[in-house]
Amino acid sequence: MKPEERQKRFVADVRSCDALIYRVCRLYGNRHDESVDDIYQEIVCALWESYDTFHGESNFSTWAYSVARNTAVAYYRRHILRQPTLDFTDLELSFKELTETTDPLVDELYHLLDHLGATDRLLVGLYLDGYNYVEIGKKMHLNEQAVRTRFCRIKARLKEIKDTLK
Amino acid sequence: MKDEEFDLEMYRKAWQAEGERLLKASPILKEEQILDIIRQHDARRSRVVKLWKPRIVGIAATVLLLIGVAWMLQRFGEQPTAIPHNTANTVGTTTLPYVEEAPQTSVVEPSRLSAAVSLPSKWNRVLAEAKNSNEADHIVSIVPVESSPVFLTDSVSGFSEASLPTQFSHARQPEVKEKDYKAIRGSDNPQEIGKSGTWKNHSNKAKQGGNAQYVRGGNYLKGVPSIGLIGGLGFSSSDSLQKAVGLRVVLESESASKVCANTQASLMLTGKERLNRVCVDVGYGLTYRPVDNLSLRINMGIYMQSNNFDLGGRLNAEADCQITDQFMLGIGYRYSTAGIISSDSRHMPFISLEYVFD
Repeated sequence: MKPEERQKRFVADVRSCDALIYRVCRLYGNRHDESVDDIYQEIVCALWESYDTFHGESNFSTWAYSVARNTAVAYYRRHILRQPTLDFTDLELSFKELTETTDPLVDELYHLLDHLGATDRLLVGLYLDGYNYVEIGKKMHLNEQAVRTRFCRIKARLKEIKDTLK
Repeated sequence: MKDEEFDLEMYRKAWQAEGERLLKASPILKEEQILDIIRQHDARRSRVVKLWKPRIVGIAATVLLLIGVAWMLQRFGEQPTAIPHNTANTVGTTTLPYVEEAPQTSVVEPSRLSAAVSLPSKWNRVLAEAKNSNEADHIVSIVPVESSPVFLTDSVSGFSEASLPTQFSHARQPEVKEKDYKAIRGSDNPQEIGKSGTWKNHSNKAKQGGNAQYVRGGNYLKGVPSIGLIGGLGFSSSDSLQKAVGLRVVLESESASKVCANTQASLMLTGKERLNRVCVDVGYGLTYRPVDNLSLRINMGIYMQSNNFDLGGRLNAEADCQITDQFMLGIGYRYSTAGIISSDSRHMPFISLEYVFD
Protein backbone atom coordinates (compact mmCIF):
# COMPACT_ATOMS: atom_id res chain seq x y z
CA MET A 1 0.00 0.00 0.00
CA LYS A 2 1.31 3.44 -0.92
CA PRO A 3 2.01 5.81 2.00
CA GLU A 4 -0.62 8.31 0.84
CA GLU A 5 -3.19 5.59 0.47
CA ARG A 6 -2.32 4.15 3.87
CA GLN A 7 -2.63 7.59 5.45
CA LYS A 8 -5.99 8.21 3.83
CA ARG A 9 -7.32 4.86 4.96
CA PHE A 10 -6.08 5.42 8.48
CA VAL A 11 -7.76 8.82 8.72
CA ALA A 12 -11.05 7.31 7.55
CA ASP A 13 -10.77 4.49 10.08
CA VAL A 14 -10.01 6.85 12.96
CA ARG A 15 -12.87 9.16 12.03
CA SER A 16 -15.22 6.20 12.05
CA CYS A 17 -14.68 5.74 15.79
CA ASP A 18 -13.30 9.02 17.07
CA ALA A 19 -16.28 9.54 19.34
CA LEU A 20 -15.46 6.27 21.05
CA ILE A 21 -11.82 7.25 21.37
CA TYR A 22 -12.89 10.55 22.79
CA ARG A 23 -14.86 8.74 25.45
CA VAL A 24 -11.70 6.97 26.61
CA CYS A 25 -9.93 10.32 26.71
CA ARG A 26 -12.76 11.83 28.65
CA LEU A 27 -12.71 8.96 31.13
CA TYR A 28 -9.00 9.12 31.84
CA GLY A 29 -8.33 12.76 31.22
CA ASN A 30 -9.39 15.80 33.10
CA ARG A 31 -12.01 17.86 31.33
CA HIS A 32 -10.84 20.96 33.16
CA ASP A 33 -7.43 20.99 31.49
CA GLU A 34 -5.97 19.95 28.16
CA SER A 35 -5.27 16.39 29.14
CA VAL A 36 -8.21 15.12 27.09
CA ASP A 37 -6.68 16.61 23.94
CA ASP A 38 -3.25 15.31 24.88
CA ILE A 39 -4.54 11.79 25.42
CA TYR A 40 -6.41 11.91 22.14
CA GLN A 41 -3.27 12.91 20.28
CA GLU A 42 -1.27 10.19 21.98
CA ILE A 43 -3.90 7.63 21.07
CA VAL A 44 -3.90 8.68 17.42
CA CYS A 45 -0.09 8.44 17.38
CA ALA A 46 -0.20 4.99 18.97
CA LEU A 47 -2.77 3.84 16.45
CA TRP A 48 -0.72 5.25 13.59
CA GLU A 49 2.46 3.56 14.80
CA SER A 50 0.82 0.17 15.12
CA TYR A 51 -1.53 0.49 12.16
CA ASP A 52 0.48 -2.08 10.21
CA THR A 53 -0.24 -4.67 12.88
CA PHE A 54 -3.98 -4.33 12.34
CA HIS A 55 -4.93 -7.03 9.88
CA GLY A 56 -8.67 -6.61 9.95
CA GLU A 57 -9.30 -9.71 12.04
CA SER A 58 -11.60 -7.63 14.25
CA ASN A 59 -13.47 -4.39 13.77
CA PHE A 60 -11.21 -1.38 13.64
CA SER A 61 -13.25 0.20 16.42
CA THR A 62 -12.66 -2.80 18.73
CA TRP A 63 -8.93 -2.75 18.06
CA ALA A 64 -8.76 1.03 18.32
CA TYR A 65 -10.67 1.03 21.59
CA SER A 66 -8.25 -1.48 23.07
CA VAL A 67 -5.22 0.55 21.93
CA ALA A 68 -6.90 3.73 23.16
CA ARG A 69 -7.52 2.33 26.62
CA ASN A 70 -3.95 1.05 26.96
CA THR A 71 -2.55 4.36 25.77
CA ALA A 72 -4.78 6.30 28.11
CA VAL A 73 -3.76 4.12 31.05
CA ALA A 74 -0.09 4.59 30.14
CA TYR A 75 -0.66 8.34 29.90
CA TYR A 76 -2.29 8.35 33.28
CA ARG A 77 0.57 6.46 34.84
CA ARG A 78 3.08 8.88 33.34
CA HIS A 79 0.97 11.73 34.59
CA ILE A 80 1.11 10.28 38.09
CA LEU A 81 4.90 10.01 37.84
CA ARG A 82 4.99 13.65 36.64
CA GLN A 83 6.84 12.77 33.49
CA PRO A 84 6.52 15.16 30.57
CA THR A 85 4.02 14.22 27.92
CA LEU A 86 4.30 14.73 24.18
CA ASP A 87 4.89 18.26 23.15
CA PHE A 88 2.36 19.00 20.45
CA THR A 89 1.49 22.36 19.20
CA ASP A 90 -2.09 23.43 19.74
CA LEU A 91 -4.11 21.49 17.21
CA GLU A 92 -7.45 23.04 18.12
CA LEU A 93 -9.34 19.81 18.47
CA SER A 94 -13.12 20.10 18.33
CA PHE A 95 -13.91 18.24 21.52
CA LYS A 96 -15.34 21.29 23.21
CA GLU A 97 -18.41 20.77 21.04
CA LEU A 98 -18.90 17.41 22.68
CA THR A 99 -19.07 18.45 26.30
CA GLU A 100 -22.35 16.76 27.11
CA THR A 101 -23.60 13.29 26.29
CA THR A 102 -27.16 12.29 25.48
CA ASP A 103 -27.48 10.03 28.51
CA PRO A 104 -27.74 11.94 31.82
CA LEU A 105 -26.47 8.88 33.71
CA VAL A 106 -23.22 8.94 31.75
CA ASP A 107 -22.89 12.65 32.36
CA GLU A 108 -23.35 12.08 36.05
CA LEU A 109 -20.80 9.28 35.94
CA TYR A 110 -18.21 11.60 34.41
CA HIS A 111 -18.82 14.13 37.17
CA LEU A 112 -18.47 11.47 39.84
CA LEU A 113 -15.28 10.03 38.31
CA ASP A 114 -13.70 13.48 38.26
CA HIS A 115 -13.49 13.22 42.05
CA LEU A 116 -11.74 9.85 42.09
CA GLY A 117 -8.03 9.26 42.29
CA ALA A 118 -5.98 7.91 39.40
CA THR A 119 -5.94 4.22 40.27
CA ASP A 120 -9.59 4.16 41.25
CA ARG A 121 -10.54 5.77 37.99
CA LEU A 122 -8.58 3.12 36.10
CA LEU A 123 -10.37 0.37 37.98
CA VAL A 124 -13.79 1.84 37.33
CA GLY A 125 -12.90 2.41 33.67
CA LEU A 126 -12.06 -1.27 33.24
CA TYR A 127 -15.25 -2.27 35.04
CA LEU A 128 -17.35 -0.06 32.79
CA ASP A 129 -15.73 -1.63 29.75
CA GLY A 130 -17.10 -4.98 30.84
CA TYR A 131 -14.21 -6.62 32.68
CA ASN A 132 -14.93 -8.66 35.78
CA TYR A 133 -12.91 -8.51 39.01
CA VAL A 134 -10.61 -11.37 38.05
CA GLU A 135 -9.76 -9.80 34.67
CA ILE A 136 -9.26 -6.40 36.25
CA GLY A 137 -6.96 -8.00 38.83
CA LYS A 138 -4.85 -9.53 36.07
CA LYS A 139 -4.57 -6.21 34.25
CA MET A 140 -3.74 -4.25 37.38
CA HIS A 141 -1.50 -6.91 38.95
CA LEU A 142 -3.80 -7.30 41.93
CA ASN A 143 -5.47 -10.38 43.30
CA GLU A 144 -9.22 -10.75 43.09
CA GLN A 145 -9.79 -10.09 46.77
CA ALA A 146 -7.82 -6.87 46.61
CA VAL A 147 -9.89 -5.74 43.62
CA ARG A 148 -13.11 -6.52 45.48
CA THR A 149 -11.93 -4.56 48.50
CA ARG A 150 -10.95 -1.62 46.28
CA PHE A 151 -14.35 -1.63 44.60
CA CYS A 152 -16.08 -1.67 47.96
CA ARG A 153 -14.24 1.47 48.93
CA ILE A 154 -14.75 3.05 45.50
CA LYS A 155 -18.49 2.50 45.70
CA ALA A 156 -18.60 3.99 49.17
CA ARG A 157 -16.64 6.97 47.97
CA LEU A 158 -18.85 7.42 44.88
CA LYS A 159 -21.92 7.30 47.06
CA GLU A 160 -20.46 9.90 49.33
CA ILE A 161 -19.62 12.13 46.36
CA LYS A 162 -23.06 11.66 44.89
CA ASP A 163 -24.71 12.61 48.19
CA THR A 164 -22.51 15.66 48.47
CA LEU A 165 -23.31 16.78 44.92
CA LYS A 166 -27.02 16.46 45.63
CA MET B 1 -28.23 -2.27 53.38
CA LYS B 2 -27.84 -3.62 49.85
CA ASP B 3 -30.15 -0.89 48.47
CA GLU B 4 -27.95 1.80 49.93
CA GLU B 5 -24.89 0.58 48.06
CA PHE B 6 -23.80 2.59 45.07
CA ASP B 7 -25.20 0.90 41.96
CA LEU B 8 -22.24 0.86 39.64
CA GLU B 9 -23.88 -1.77 37.46
CA MET B 10 -26.54 0.72 36.43
CA TYR B 11 -23.87 3.12 35.25
CA ARG B 12 -22.11 0.31 33.43
CA LYS B 13 -25.21 -0.44 31.38
CA ALA B 14 -25.63 3.22 30.54
CA TRP B 15 -21.94 3.45 29.66
CA GLN B 16 -22.10 0.52 27.28
CA ALA B 17 -25.27 1.75 25.64
CA GLU B 18 -23.57 5.09 25.14
CA GLY B 19 -20.68 3.22 23.54
CA GLU B 20 -22.99 1.59 21.04
CA ARG B 21 -24.44 4.96 20.18
CA LEU B 22 -21.04 6.57 19.77
CA LEU B 23 -20.02 3.87 17.30
CA LYS B 24 -22.72 5.07 14.98
CA ALA B 25 -22.11 8.75 15.64
CA SER B 26 -20.69 10.97 12.94
CA PRO B 27 -17.00 11.90 13.16
CA ILE B 28 -16.04 14.74 15.45
CA LEU B 29 -12.69 15.63 13.97
CA LYS B 30 -11.90 16.76 10.48
CA GLU B 31 -9.51 14.78 8.32
CA GLU B 32 -7.00 17.57 8.40
CA GLN B 33 -6.85 17.53 12.19
CA ILE B 34 -5.95 13.84 12.28
CA LEU B 35 -3.43 14.33 9.49
CA ASP B 36 -1.83 17.14 11.49
CA ILE B 37 -1.39 14.81 14.46
CA ILE B 38 0.21 12.16 12.26
CA ARG B 39 2.52 14.64 10.56
CA GLN B 40 3.69 16.08 13.85
CA HIS B 41 4.25 12.62 15.21
CA ASP B 42 6.29 11.54 12.19
CA ALA B 43 8.37 14.70 12.29
CA ARG B 44 9.07 14.25 16.00
CA ARG B 45 10.02 10.62 15.55
CA SER B 46 12.43 11.37 12.73
CA ARG B 47 14.01 14.07 14.90
CA VAL B 48 14.43 11.61 17.76
CA VAL B 49 15.90 8.95 15.47
CA LYS B 50 18.24 11.49 13.92
CA LEU B 51 19.34 12.66 17.34
CA TRP B 52 19.74 9.33 19.09
CA LYS B 53 20.76 6.91 16.38
CA PRO B 54 24.35 8.17 16.15
CA ARG B 55 24.54 8.35 19.94
CA ILE B 56 23.41 4.78 20.31
CA VAL B 57 25.89 3.72 17.65
CA GLY B 58 28.57 5.70 19.46
CA ILE B 59 27.83 4.17 22.83
CA ALA B 60 27.73 0.68 21.31
CA ALA B 61 31.01 1.32 19.52
CA THR B 62 32.58 2.57 22.76
CA VAL B 63 31.46 -0.54 24.60
CA LEU B 64 32.90 -2.70 21.82
CA LEU B 65 36.12 -0.71 21.97
CA LEU B 66 36.43 -1.29 25.69
CA ILE B 67 35.77 -4.98 25.23
CA GLY B 68 38.39 -5.03 22.48
CA VAL B 69 40.92 -3.22 24.66
CA ALA B 70 40.26 -5.60 27.53
CA TRP B 71 40.67 -8.54 25.21
CA MET B 72 43.92 -7.18 23.81
CA LEU B 73 45.26 -6.47 27.27
CA GLN B 74 44.53 -10.04 28.20
CA ARG B 75 45.89 -11.45 24.95
CA PHE B 76 48.99 -9.37 24.37
CA GLY B 77 49.63 -7.82 27.74
CA GLU B 78 50.51 -11.08 29.37
CA GLN B 79 53.75 -11.17 31.32
CA PRO B 80 56.26 -13.76 30.15
CA THR B 81 56.53 -15.39 33.53
CA ALA B 82 52.82 -15.50 34.10
CA ILE B 83 51.39 -18.96 34.42
CA PRO B 84 47.72 -19.40 33.63
CA HIS B 85 45.35 -19.09 36.54
CA ASN B 86 43.79 -22.30 37.60
CA THR B 87 41.19 -23.10 40.12
CA ALA B 88 42.89 -26.34 40.98
CA ASN B 89 46.40 -27.69 41.12
CA THR B 90 46.90 -31.33 40.51
CA VAL B 91 49.55 -33.25 42.39
CA GLY B 92 49.33 -36.89 41.64
CA THR B 93 45.75 -37.76 42.32
CA THR B 94 45.16 -35.06 44.93
CA THR B 95 43.76 -31.63 44.11
CA LEU B 96 44.98 -28.60 45.96
CA PRO B 97 42.67 -25.62 46.28
CA TYR B 98 43.42 -22.37 44.50
CA VAL B 99 44.52 -19.75 47.03
CA GLU B 100 43.47 -16.17 46.31
CA GLU B 101 45.85 -14.20 48.53
CA ALA B 102 49.60 -14.21 48.12
CA PRO B 103 51.04 -16.60 50.69
CA GLN B 104 52.95 -15.35 53.69
CA THR B 105 56.46 -16.58 53.35
CA SER B 106 57.40 -19.04 55.97
CA VAL B 107 60.02 -21.27 54.51
CA VAL B 108 60.51 -24.54 56.27
CA GLU B 109 62.90 -27.24 55.29
CA PRO B 110 61.16 -30.50 54.37
CA SER B 111 63.05 -32.52 56.93
CA ARG B 112 61.75 -30.30 59.75
CA LEU B 113 58.34 -29.91 58.29
CA SER B 114 56.31 -32.04 60.62
CA ALA B 115 57.77 -30.33 63.65
CA ALA B 116 57.25 -26.84 62.33
CA VAL B 117 53.72 -27.03 60.96
CA SER B 118 50.83 -28.99 62.27
CA LEU B 119 49.40 -30.49 59.13
CA PRO B 120 45.94 -31.98 58.83
CA SER B 121 45.68 -35.47 57.52
CA LYS B 122 44.87 -34.41 53.97
CA TRP B 123 48.08 -32.46 53.58
CA ASN B 124 50.09 -35.14 55.32
CA ARG B 125 48.82 -37.50 52.69
CA VAL B 126 49.82 -35.14 49.88
CA LEU B 127 53.25 -34.78 51.36
CA ALA B 128 53.59 -38.51 51.86
CA GLU B 129 52.65 -39.14 48.26
CA ALA B 130 55.16 -36.58 47.11
CA LYS B 131 57.87 -38.18 49.20
CA ASN B 132 56.99 -41.63 47.90
CA SER B 133 57.36 -40.47 44.35
CA ASN B 134 60.78 -38.95 45.07
CA GLU B 135 59.45 -35.46 44.56
CA ALA B 136 60.02 -34.28 48.07
CA ASP B 137 63.54 -33.18 47.18
CA HIS B 138 62.10 -30.45 45.05
CA ILE B 139 59.80 -29.09 47.70
CA VAL B 140 61.58 -26.11 49.16
CA SER B 141 58.88 -24.45 51.19
CA ILE B 142 55.52 -25.01 52.66
CA VAL B 143 53.49 -21.97 53.45
CA PRO B 144 50.57 -21.80 55.84
CA VAL B 145 47.68 -19.92 54.30
CA GLU B 146 44.81 -18.96 56.58
CA SER B 147 42.12 -21.61 56.34
CA SER B 148 44.15 -23.85 54.09
CA PRO B 149 47.02 -24.81 56.33
CA VAL B 150 49.70 -25.30 53.72
CA PHE B 151 50.47 -24.35 50.22
CA LEU B 152 53.23 -25.90 48.20
CA THR B 153 55.05 -22.91 46.81
CA ASP B 154 57.70 -24.40 44.65
CA SER B 155 58.68 -27.36 42.68
CA VAL B 156 60.98 -27.37 39.73
CA SER B 157 59.84 -30.42 37.92
CA GLY B 158 57.72 -32.40 40.26
CA PHE B 159 54.38 -30.80 39.50
CA SER B 160 52.44 -30.03 36.44
CA GLU B 161 53.69 -26.53 35.76
CA ALA B 162 50.86 -25.41 33.54
CA SER B 163 48.37 -26.06 36.26
CA LEU B 164 50.15 -24.23 39.04
CA PRO B 165 48.41 -21.16 40.37
CA THR B 166 49.80 -17.71 39.70
CA GLN B 167 51.26 -17.03 43.10
CA PHE B 168 53.50 -19.96 42.52
CA SER B 169 55.45 -17.80 40.09
CA HIS B 170 55.10 -14.69 42.23
CA ALA B 171 56.54 -16.43 45.23
CA ARG B 172 59.40 -17.83 43.24
CA GLN B 173 60.10 -15.04 40.81
CA PRO B 174 62.88 -13.12 42.61
CA GLU B 175 64.97 -16.20 43.14
CA VAL B 176 64.75 -17.87 39.75
CA LYS B 177 67.42 -17.22 37.15
CA GLU B 178 67.35 -17.48 33.38
CA LYS B 179 68.48 -21.07 33.29
CA ASP B 180 65.60 -22.03 35.49
CA TYR B 181 63.19 -20.91 32.82
CA LYS B 182 64.84 -23.25 30.44
CA ALA B 183 64.49 -26.00 32.98
CA ILE B 184 60.86 -25.17 33.60
CA ARG B 185 59.82 -24.46 30.06
CA GLY B 186 61.96 -27.13 28.49
CA SER B 187 63.39 -24.68 26.00
CA ASP B 188 64.90 -21.24 25.71
CA ASN B 189 63.47 -20.78 22.26
CA PRO B 190 60.79 -18.13 22.41
CA GLN B 191 58.81 -19.74 19.63
CA GLU B 192 58.52 -22.83 21.70
CA ILE B 193 57.80 -21.02 24.90
CA GLY B 194 54.76 -19.49 23.27
CA LYS B 195 52.93 -16.25 23.18
CA SER B 196 53.56 -15.29 26.74
CA GLY B 197 57.28 -14.88 26.09
CA THR B 198 58.27 -11.30 25.42
CA TRP B 199 61.32 -10.60 23.32
CA LYS B 200 63.01 -7.31 22.83
CA ASN B 201 63.40 -6.68 19.17
CA HIS B 202 62.52 -3.18 18.16
CA SER B 203 63.07 -2.24 14.55
CA ASN B 204 66.39 -0.52 15.33
CA LYS B 205 67.62 -3.60 17.09
CA ALA B 206 66.45 -5.70 14.21
CA LYS B 207 68.51 -3.59 11.84
CA GLN B 208 71.54 -4.30 13.97
CA GLY B 209 71.18 -7.95 13.29
CA GLY B 210 68.08 -8.91 15.12
CA ASN B 211 69.79 -9.50 18.43
CA ALA B 212 66.75 -10.87 20.06
CA GLN B 213 67.08 -10.84 23.78
CA TYR B 214 64.66 -12.46 26.11
CA VAL B 215 63.31 -9.92 28.53
CA ARG B 216 62.35 -11.50 31.76
CA GLY B 217 59.67 -9.65 33.61
CA GLY B 218 58.68 -7.74 30.47
CA ASN B 219 55.42 -5.90 30.52
CA TYR B 220 52.99 -4.64 27.95
CA LEU B 221 53.54 -1.16 29.27
CA LYS B 222 57.29 -1.54 28.96
CA GLY B 223 58.62 -0.80 25.52
CA VAL B 224 59.88 1.77 23.10
CA PRO B 225 58.38 5.21 23.61
CA SER B 226 57.99 7.84 20.96
CA ILE B 227 56.57 11.32 20.98
CA GLY B 228 55.22 13.13 18.02
CA LEU B 229 53.16 15.83 16.43
CA ILE B 230 49.87 15.00 14.86
CA GLY B 231 47.65 17.13 12.70
CA GLY B 232 44.70 16.68 10.47
CA LEU B 233 41.46 17.93 9.02
CA GLY B 234 38.25 16.50 10.37
CA PHE B 235 34.85 16.41 8.77
CA SER B 236 31.43 15.14 9.70
CA SER B 237 27.97 15.12 8.23
CA SER B 238 26.56 17.81 10.49
CA ASP B 239 29.53 20.10 10.82
CA SER B 240 31.88 21.78 8.49
CA LEU B 241 35.58 21.10 8.21
CA GLN B 242 37.54 21.23 11.44
CA LYS B 243 41.23 21.60 12.03
CA ALA B 244 43.05 19.51 14.57
CA VAL B 245 46.60 19.62 15.81
CA GLY B 246 48.17 17.95 18.79
CA LEU B 247 50.82 16.00 20.57
CA ARG B 248 50.95 12.28 20.84
CA VAL B 249 52.84 9.74 22.90
CA VAL B 250 53.14 6.17 21.70
CA LEU B 251 54.56 3.22 23.55
CA GLU B 252 55.25 0.09 21.60
CA SER B 253 55.88 -3.08 23.52
CA GLU B 254 58.99 -5.14 23.03
CA SER B 255 58.36 -8.08 20.82
CA ALA B 256 60.30 -10.49 18.66
CA SER B 257 57.41 -11.10 16.36
CA LYS B 258 56.20 -8.75 13.66
CA VAL B 259 53.21 -7.90 15.81
CA CYS B 260 53.42 -6.00 19.06
CA ALA B 261 51.10 -3.98 21.23
CA ASN B 262 50.98 -0.21 21.21
CA THR B 263 49.55 2.24 23.70
CA GLN B 264 48.70 5.77 22.60
CA ALA B 265 47.71 8.94 24.35
CA SER B 266 47.18 12.21 22.57
CA LEU B 267 46.22 15.75 23.34
CA MET B 268 44.71 17.69 20.48
CA LEU B 269 43.29 21.09 19.91
CA THR B 270 40.39 21.19 17.51
CA GLY B 271 38.07 23.82 16.15
CA LYS B 272 36.37 25.15 13.11
CA GLU B 273 37.95 28.57 12.97
CA ARG B 274 39.97 28.77 16.15
CA LEU B 275 41.49 25.77 17.91
CA ASN B 276 39.32 26.25 20.97
CA ARG B 277 38.46 22.71 21.96
CA VAL B 278 40.69 20.33 23.81
CA CYS B 279 40.45 16.66 22.99
CA VAL B 280 42.26 14.01 24.98
CA ASP B 281 42.30 10.38 24.03
CA VAL B 282 43.91 7.18 25.16
CA GLY B 283 43.92 3.82 23.47
CA TYR B 284 45.47 0.48 23.03
CA GLY B 285 46.20 -1.38 19.81
CA LEU B 286 48.46 -3.46 17.64
CA THR B 287 51.46 -2.66 15.49
CA TYR B 288 52.40 -4.82 12.56
CA ARG B 289 55.84 -4.53 10.94
CA PRO B 290 55.85 -6.20 7.56
CA VAL B 291 59.36 -4.81 6.91
CA ASP B 292 61.89 -3.12 9.16
CA ASN B 293 61.10 0.48 8.30
CA LEU B 294 57.37 0.29 8.10
CA SER B 295 54.85 0.06 10.90
CA LEU B 296 51.15 -0.42 10.45
CA ARG B 297 49.24 0.54 13.54
CA ILE B 298 45.69 0.16 14.60
CA ASN B 299 44.60 1.65 17.89
CA MET B 300 41.26 1.82 19.64
CA GLY B 301 40.45 4.01 22.56
CA ILE B 302 38.21 6.59 24.10
CA TYR B 303 38.26 10.35 23.71
CA MET B 304 37.13 13.18 25.89
CA GLN B 305 36.39 16.62 24.52
CA SER B 306 36.23 19.84 26.44
CA ASN B 307 32.89 21.18 25.20
CA ASN B 308 30.32 19.95 27.69
CA PHE B 309 32.63 17.08 28.58
CA ASP B 310 31.89 14.89 25.63
CA LEU B 311 32.99 11.29 25.72
CA GLY B 312 33.18 8.76 22.91
CA GLY B 313 35.21 6.10 21.23
CA ARG B 314 37.86 6.49 18.57
CA LEU B 315 39.75 4.33 16.14
CA ASN B 316 43.11 5.14 14.56
CA ALA B 317 44.59 3.30 11.63
CA GLU B 318 47.93 4.49 10.31
CA ALA B 319 51.08 3.63 8.44
CA ASP B 320 54.42 4.95 9.73
CA CYS B 321 57.68 4.95 7.90
CA GLN B 322 61.03 5.22 9.66
CA ILE B 323 62.73 8.04 7.77
CA THR B 324 65.83 8.22 9.99
CA ASP B 325 67.01 6.23 13.00
CA GLN B 326 64.99 8.43 15.31
CA PHE B 327 62.13 9.84 13.25
CA MET B 328 59.02 8.29 11.86
CA LEU B 329 56.61 9.90 9.44
CA GLY B 330 53.10 8.61 9.19
CA ILE B 331 49.74 9.06 7.63
CA GLY B 332 46.55 7.78 9.11
CA TYR B 333 42.86 7.93 9.50
CA ARG B 334 41.02 8.64 12.68
CA TYR B 335 37.38 7.87 13.24
CA SER B 336 35.69 9.13 16.37
CA THR B 337 32.25 7.87 17.21
CA ALA B 338 29.39 10.08 18.27
CA GLY B 339 29.91 11.15 21.82
CA ILE B 340 27.54 11.34 24.72
CA ILE B 341 26.79 14.99 24.00
CA SER B 342 27.55 15.39 20.33
CA SER B 343 25.36 13.45 17.98
CA ASP B 344 27.71 13.20 15.05
CA SER B 345 30.74 11.11 14.38
CA ARG B 346 33.89 12.52 12.85
CA HIS B 347 36.35 11.37 10.25
CA MET B 348 39.86 12.77 10.20
CA PRO B 349 42.74 11.91 7.96
CA PHE B 350 45.97 12.98 9.66
CA ILE B 351 49.73 13.09 9.33
CA SER B 352 52.20 12.52 12.13
CA LEU B 353 55.87 13.00 12.83
CA GLU B 354 57.37 11.01 15.70
CA TYR B 355 60.63 11.02 17.56
CA VAL B 356 61.55 7.55 18.79
CA PHE B 357 63.44 7.18 22.06
CA ASP B 358 65.43 4.01 21.72
